[in-house]
Amino acid sequence: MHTKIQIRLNGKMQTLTVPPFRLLLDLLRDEIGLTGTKEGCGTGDCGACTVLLNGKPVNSCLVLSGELEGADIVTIEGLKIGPYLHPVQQAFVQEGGAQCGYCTPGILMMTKALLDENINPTEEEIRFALSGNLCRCTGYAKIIQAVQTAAAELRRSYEEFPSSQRRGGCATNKMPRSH
Amino acid sequence: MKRPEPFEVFQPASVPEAREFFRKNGPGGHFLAGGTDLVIAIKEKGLVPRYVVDLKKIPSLSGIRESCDGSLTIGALTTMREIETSSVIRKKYPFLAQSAAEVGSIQIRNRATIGGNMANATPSADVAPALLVLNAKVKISRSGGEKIVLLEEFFIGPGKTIMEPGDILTEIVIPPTPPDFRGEYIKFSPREMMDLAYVGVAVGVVVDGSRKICRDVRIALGAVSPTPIRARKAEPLMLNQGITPSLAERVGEEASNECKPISDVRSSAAYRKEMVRVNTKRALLNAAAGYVENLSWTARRDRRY
Amino acid sequence: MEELAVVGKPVTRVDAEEKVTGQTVYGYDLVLPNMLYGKALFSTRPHAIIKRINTERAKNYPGVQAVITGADAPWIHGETIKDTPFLAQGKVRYVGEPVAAVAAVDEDTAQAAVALIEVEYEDLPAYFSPEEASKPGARAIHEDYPEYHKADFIVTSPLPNVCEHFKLRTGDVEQGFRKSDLILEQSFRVPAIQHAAMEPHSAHAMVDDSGKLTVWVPNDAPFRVRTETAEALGLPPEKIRYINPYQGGGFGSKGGLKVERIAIALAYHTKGLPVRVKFNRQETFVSTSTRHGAIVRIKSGVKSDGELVAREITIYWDAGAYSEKSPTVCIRGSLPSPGPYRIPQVKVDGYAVYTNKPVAGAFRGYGIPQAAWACEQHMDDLAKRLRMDPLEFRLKNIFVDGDVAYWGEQLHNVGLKETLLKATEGIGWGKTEKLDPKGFKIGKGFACIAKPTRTPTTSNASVLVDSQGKVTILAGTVEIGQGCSTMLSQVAAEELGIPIENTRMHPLDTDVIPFDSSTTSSRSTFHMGNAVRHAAIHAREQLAEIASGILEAPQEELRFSDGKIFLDNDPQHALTIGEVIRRQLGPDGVVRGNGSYTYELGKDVDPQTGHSDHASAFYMYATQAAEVAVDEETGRVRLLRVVAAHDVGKAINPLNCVAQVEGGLAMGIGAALHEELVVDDHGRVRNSSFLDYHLVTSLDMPEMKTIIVECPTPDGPYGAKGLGEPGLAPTPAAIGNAVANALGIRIYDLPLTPERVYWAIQAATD
Repeated sequence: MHTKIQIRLNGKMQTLTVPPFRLLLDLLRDEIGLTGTKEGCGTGDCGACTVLLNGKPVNSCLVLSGELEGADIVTIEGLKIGPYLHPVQQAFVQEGGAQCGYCTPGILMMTKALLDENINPTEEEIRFALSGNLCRCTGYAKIIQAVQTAAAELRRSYEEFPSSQRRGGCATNKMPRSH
Repeated sequence: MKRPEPFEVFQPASVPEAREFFRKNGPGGHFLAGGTDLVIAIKEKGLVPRYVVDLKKIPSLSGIRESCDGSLTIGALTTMREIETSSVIRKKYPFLAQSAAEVGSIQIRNRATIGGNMANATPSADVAPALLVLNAKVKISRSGGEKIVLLEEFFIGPGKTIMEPGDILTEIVIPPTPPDFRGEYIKFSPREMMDLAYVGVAVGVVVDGSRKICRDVRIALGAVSPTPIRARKAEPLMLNQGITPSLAERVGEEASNECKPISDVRSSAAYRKEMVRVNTKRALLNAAAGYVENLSWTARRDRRY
Repeated sequence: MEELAVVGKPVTRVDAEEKVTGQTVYGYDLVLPNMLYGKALFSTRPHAIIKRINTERAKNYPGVQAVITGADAPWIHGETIKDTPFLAQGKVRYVGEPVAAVAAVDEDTAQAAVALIEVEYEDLPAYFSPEEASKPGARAIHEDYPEYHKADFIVTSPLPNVCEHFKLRTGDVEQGFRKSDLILEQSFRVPAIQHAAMEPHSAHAMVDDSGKLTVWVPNDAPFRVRTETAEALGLPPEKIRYINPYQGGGFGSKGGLKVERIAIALAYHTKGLPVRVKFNRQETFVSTSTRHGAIVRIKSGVKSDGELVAREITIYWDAGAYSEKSPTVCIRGSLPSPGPYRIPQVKVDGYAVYTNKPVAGAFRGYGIPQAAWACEQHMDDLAKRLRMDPLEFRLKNIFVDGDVAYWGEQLHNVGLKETLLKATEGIGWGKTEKLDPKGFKIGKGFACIAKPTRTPTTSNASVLVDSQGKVTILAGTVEIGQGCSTMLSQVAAEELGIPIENTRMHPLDTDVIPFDSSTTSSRSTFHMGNAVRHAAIHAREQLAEIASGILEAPQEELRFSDGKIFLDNDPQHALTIGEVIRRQLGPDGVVRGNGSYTYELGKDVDPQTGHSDHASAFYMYATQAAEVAVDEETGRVRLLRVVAAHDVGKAINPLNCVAQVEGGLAMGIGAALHEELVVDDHGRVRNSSFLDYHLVTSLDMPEMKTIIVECPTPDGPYGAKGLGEPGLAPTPAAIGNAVANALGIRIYDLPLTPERVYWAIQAATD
């Protein structure tokens, strides 16, 4: 039982033949081989599997492949900008926002979604946006700090290069990384 | 928790097409809205659909429309996040936007839909009490035409509604409210976010501007009865009275008497009753104090404490 | 001391970049050629005889390669008591015990086949409380306990279902109570909680043609689990190889044989094909391990001036169905349970008791948090009755340098008092805060702990220096997220005078990496830090010998800095490390430095008295303080601020030290306010999901302040000791004391959920 879908994955158009009941998370990990997206609970309660679906953060463990015709999907593997770390990634490195790192891909995707909408979030807005991403290691302090650092860096770069704002520093408009 | 077993997914482009699909393919089919309940049911509760009809590609099911008479129509496939962030709803019924913002996480709210949430009839659904105090109606598309019913009459038990197989919930309709209508929703749960309501209380009041007298009182409770309910016995106690802390407390007590909570892993029934009392009081006092423009999370948290 | 170049600096993590790009390979990211997928069938009964298992339908299901039961994997394991079958042998002892397993071509097939296995049970009476299970006359959950193979130090008991009885006897407590002006006796309860590492448990296993077993699993003690596996299977250790992918958090859960044993059992029935077994979240909650639930009875006698005279403690540790690490949790958690205080008369009895519940095991803190919940709240209540300030009361009794602890050891380099003063200062102890605008009750509290580490243990390490000056570190410490890779890279870089970018950690593989005891008990900075330091010094000495010939200078005058070797007075003629190797050993040359470190124990802990002149390589001291606002109408505790002061000896990486404490606080706050693994009277876990088992979210965390205290321990690398565990140990007690301070009501049981606090307030006002 398979169905043919065309999706844009990390900026690259792909035609896939997939079982329609397969969850997006399993599709990414098992069928496409992108293991950066993690399963923490499988029930939408932890956010580890967060990806961007048509620009919006969703739990990929609750999305069926059969719903994906025409979808635009960005995963952690699509976050880098060419060979460079995305400012969000850079900030998490700098501030120690990752410990075991297992929740990190989901948190980075959520952070990107937040900063795409709001380039100058308050601490409260950051905490609110990330409340669906559980982390057992950090106590969230360094994650919040990293988001603030990333936001400041993005604001700085938009001032310097106003044209980059429309792209939101997003890899989907760039050349995709090969895997 | 298990992986889904095989089934087909169809994506019709219109409501009639969806219903026709369902009729032709026979029993074992499930409509799919946001999927945040359906997929969990498949993974955790042993649901094995034969096929799934995804309603997301039906344009007429989405969107929030305000009519010139002041009524508000919300398409069934409108996501919780859209309700939370809708400028119309935030302006007109901020407490409804807040109740949507209490559901799960942003990731969940980007998927979960108001129609799916109502059709799933979870007693603890956050948006249900808010819609109940707005006297919301639901529009159902079924063979032989459309049916419009009050949301209060729509729920009949945990996970049960008046909908029959093949019915599609298409719209939530909120009738016009008086200009000085004020609402409030308080979700009570131990964790600040990512929790189910242990108790949810929505109130709507119309306060006579000059004399501070309640001309209309509506109270709805979530998670404390087999369905979200209106506290019909408590409401009249406040009618034509001024909202004072002691009266609000008495109304809360009555609401507490009226509900029929269960004990479960989250809470005992007795505690739920106590929390209905306290939070009904708080919601009434908050509503009486008027709309708080600040819809930030901190403001919301501070109001429920 | 000479200025340090890398050690002591807030270096960013060496593993950060691969983690933020999604490239890190965790347990189930690994894909092996021709891999099969395994799924287990778990017991649905808390205590029952298996009458019959029918696997026929599962075996005939298309795509199934193997279906196995206990008969196909007749092995028993256990770290200190050999009591745990790979798959249930004739009976089950908890809901969630693996009974059978399937290997199939994909996960869907394995799942479908598991559902076809039929098991017929005959129920036996079950026990869900350690007090009930250890009452004289209770039925044995392990009928064969007397015959089990046990470690030498296990102390058995005539009471039923007790798998370890720890005893500490110092002075005469009865006489102490007689001499006391005030006696207080209380009882506290701590529920089981779960580690809930974000990565669920998974393992891959394969048996090759030569009979060699390879297991790929994020395990926190690859060498220890290799030994345990070898003992169970009757294989020499060299026939077993453990390879560690990255670990997505563990906190004590990912040690021993859990998901591993199912993968191993299946691998013996798949004709050489590798098999992956991945637990989902629910299985991880129920079928791996939990933190011990505990009942702590504490009785103290004090003089009216606040001098502690005697303390008697009885702790029932709820071991669950199998011993796992219960005996050592019982020993090392009970030993310091009277708290970090001078007490002349002490009596402690710790009982680890089998029950028909999920297996309890190691959990960050290893018994200290449970004891601290009781002891530190008891201390506040004693102070209240003495009409003394809790701070003054503690200052009068806490361990200071040179004290002889009640287990007979003289303590040195004790940073406890400094943590106590700094944490209480940080929270503004004694200062009245302005009233809450809503009339909520504001309160402050604090708690102290001392935590030992597992002793004696050994770490070995090697560093390889190549002709490009790059350094590879071979160390058996597992990167669980705690930052050991960064810390060890800093140590190697420091000793070799190279930039940290020139170091890399070798992946962990027991066939390649020298032996290390475990990545547990906060031992790695101290033990492996020393081993890597010695290895780096060994390599440096070899490099110095070569360089002294080239530079015609005595070795002791050579300096190592920035990847170069030079004479202090002649930096122009510096040689790079790579150049030195190339000149002597050619372009393919490698210099290998080896290091080893064992902390020698003095006298072992005496099984009858609990005494030892050296029970631990070092002690970790901490004080945490909290401020809360309690909503009396709902019982909700809102945490306003926490301050944590920790004596780390020396912060090798201050950034990661703060990160460890912050993460510990989050866990401690969860344990204080939310977390409890609820087991019903049928032995079923009722909240085995993140929906109902509440980890704190970003919105639940209060303002945190971390204070690092450095009281160097001379044996540690640069004075450092451990820090991994203490971050959560005093947190619940500090919050409990703050709640009691706010309400004037003591709540004895965790967690402090709104409902529990609400009923406590009601009971007090009735």
